Amino acid sequence: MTYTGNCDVYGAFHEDAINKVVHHVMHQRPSMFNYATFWFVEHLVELCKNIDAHSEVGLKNNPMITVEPLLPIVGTNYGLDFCLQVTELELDFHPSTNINLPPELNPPLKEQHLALRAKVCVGVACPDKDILDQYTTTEARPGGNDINDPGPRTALPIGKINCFCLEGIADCHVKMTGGPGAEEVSIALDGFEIVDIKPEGLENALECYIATTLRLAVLSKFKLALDFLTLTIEQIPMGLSLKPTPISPDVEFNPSVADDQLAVFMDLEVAP
Amino acid sequence: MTEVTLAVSEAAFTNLFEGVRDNFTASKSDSKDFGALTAAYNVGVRLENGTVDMRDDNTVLIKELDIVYDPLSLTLGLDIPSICVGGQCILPTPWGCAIRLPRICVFESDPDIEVPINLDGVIRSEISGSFEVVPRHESDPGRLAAMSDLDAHLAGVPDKWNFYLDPEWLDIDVIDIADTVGNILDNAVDWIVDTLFGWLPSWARDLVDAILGGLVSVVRAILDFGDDVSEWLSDLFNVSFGLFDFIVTLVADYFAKQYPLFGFEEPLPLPIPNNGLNPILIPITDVTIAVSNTEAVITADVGA
Amino acid sequence: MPIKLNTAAFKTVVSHSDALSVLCSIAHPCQKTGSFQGRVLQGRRVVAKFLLNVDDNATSTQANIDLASLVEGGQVSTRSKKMKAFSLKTGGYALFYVSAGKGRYVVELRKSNAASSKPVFSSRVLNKGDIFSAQLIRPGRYNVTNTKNDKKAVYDVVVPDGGQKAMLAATPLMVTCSDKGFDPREGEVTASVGVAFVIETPSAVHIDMYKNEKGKLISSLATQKIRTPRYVRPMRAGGLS
Repeated sequence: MTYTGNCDVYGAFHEDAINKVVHHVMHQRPSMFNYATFWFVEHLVELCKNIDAHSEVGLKNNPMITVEPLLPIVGTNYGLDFCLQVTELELDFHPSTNINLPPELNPPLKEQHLALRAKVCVGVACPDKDILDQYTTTEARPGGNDINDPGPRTALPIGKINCFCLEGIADCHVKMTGGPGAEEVSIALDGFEIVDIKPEGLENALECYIATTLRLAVLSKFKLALDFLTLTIEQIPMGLSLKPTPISPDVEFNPSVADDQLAVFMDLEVAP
Repeated sequence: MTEVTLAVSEAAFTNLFEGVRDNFTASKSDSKDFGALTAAYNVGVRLENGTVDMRDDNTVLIKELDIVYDPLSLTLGLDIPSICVGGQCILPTPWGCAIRLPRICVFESDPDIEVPINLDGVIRSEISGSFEVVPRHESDPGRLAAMSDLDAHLAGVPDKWNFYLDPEWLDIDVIDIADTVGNILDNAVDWIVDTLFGWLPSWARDLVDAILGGLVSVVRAILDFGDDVSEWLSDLFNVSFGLFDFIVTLVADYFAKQYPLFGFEEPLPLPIPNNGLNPILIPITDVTIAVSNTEAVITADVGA
Repeated sequence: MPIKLNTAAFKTVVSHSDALSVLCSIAHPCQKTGSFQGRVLQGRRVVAKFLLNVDDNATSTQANIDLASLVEGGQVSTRSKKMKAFSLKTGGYALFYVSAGKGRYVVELRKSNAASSKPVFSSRVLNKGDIFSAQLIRPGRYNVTNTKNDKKAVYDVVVPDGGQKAMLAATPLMVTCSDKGFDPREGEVTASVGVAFVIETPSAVHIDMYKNEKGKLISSLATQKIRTPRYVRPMRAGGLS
């Protein structure tokens, strides 16, 4: 079997390799997967799941979490501390062997698709009832009466952090994005399903929220540039560049997800 | 089960080879004293052309890689013999010579005459050889022992996996020495004779010619061209100067150790926006390469 | 690339035994033991002095005395501690010659510490036993005259056709100079090898070029200008190609 029968350069990552890469990203860039209010910065042990971060994160003063605003108590200027953590992320390229699509996602996994399993843990810091009584007052908005501008929120004292975790499975496909010379392989999420939450509306809302969080906060940052997939071939001679091989009967998909791996096909071209 | 696969076609491999080839330059100067003749040369060398043939035995055959000598200048220094008269015996006796006339020198050139000769484009030679593609995990010499992988990456001195063309054998063929070299060297001889003696009146030239046994012959004798000027020149550079051996060694060392065909950082940086945060580095291990007659295939694993 | 040319050697067309110039030499036999003071004169002016010690125990049978180097070395004052001294075995030959320069030297020998000022030898007049030789370089016809008895000869100086082989095989033309004249009176002399006159009667031999190699008449004072070039054309940029 010849890899370069229809192209000049071929690069392929097995799903095991991609999952190891995901693990390294989670380990070295924890703030991409852990979101919480400021209080948690000083109280990392109170997070739902302990962050297993690379030593260089602390040594180089990189953040462990991305700080988010307080969860608003509507009608007031108060908010609750909370955390949201993507604690597990796993990919399974076609043919899917490790992740089974739920019925809602119309199994089996289609060709050129990949299954994604994510576990998200959320923690909400709820104040004690006794402390909350102190905050029962007619002046719910001490800052002002502008209905459209609540002003800065004040965190309510933390009593107990209530954590829960949800596991969801997504059906994804890969696509080539980016302009000429900056092509990247991106993962596009087609469908996301959380296992059995009632009522259904709650499940749908949570699925929407988590899927949107995954799309915008995680997958949008996790793009694989072509030169990474070809191990960044250096010293390409002057006047030459790598370009994706055009789609043709010989190269039906580029990138391609098949045989448990993600592959790209590229040609060396004379630069304009 | 291979985690990472990278395959490069023969055409792409050739492009990579051309990048290495075009980066090669070398220069050398040397001189030798052959007695009445000294020869010195100055040469600049680069490589052009060449065909790349990948083979199923895991080797790459490179043929007809032209060596371009640019420049190639040869400087010949000749020790023209002094022209002296005298020394004859004017009173021979049965016991030997009773009176011998003193030797008086009438002509000397001091110091030796030097003749620079431009040999650009005169010599054509080619290198051919069989190579194994060898991966090497190399540390940057600028990397300090206390540096972590991240420190080294940020300092621009990361470790790398580099792939070199390690020659199994190399040989050099002198393909052609231009016929014009004969004319070039003939012109040199004529110039020497003309410069040294051209300004003498004809009778003096005739006398010097007779004393020396022919001015051109003397110069040619010192130069020792023989019948085949091309062979003389080839021997001068090949045997006397060892230029071709030097070039072969240089090319072998260059491909094997100095300039990799390609390489990548290890750990490999993930090209995602960092926005001031630590770059994400992915360890790559167990790198191998196999060459067939259609492509070169690199396999590796992502480290834990 | 400087060229050293012995211009006097190439220019000279006269060789006089009583005014020694370049490529001329006089071999004088020294039969008597003793220490002799030598003087080198131009006209009547002493331009150099030297010592010649003739001794039975000396090993050299020939002492080559270059008058030009003595003059150049400033060997004039007898007070000089470093007056050049030569030693010669009794019966050997003192060979006086001029290696360079315009010359016209006279050389005299006087017994050292002798009361008499008369020289025991003067090149102004050569006597029996002396040999005068001239390594004539320039081809042409030469008139020879013994100014003491007005006898004459004519010799042609030629470059032999046989090239270097002929040059190497050539020997000086040996001429006897007696009261009957020169023997032979004519002949060919190989250029740079020259002619040697074996003196048998008081003589002062004058050799003067009569015609040059092209057959052109030459006056005794005429010389062809030969100059060592001050400048030699350098190679073009890039050398010969």
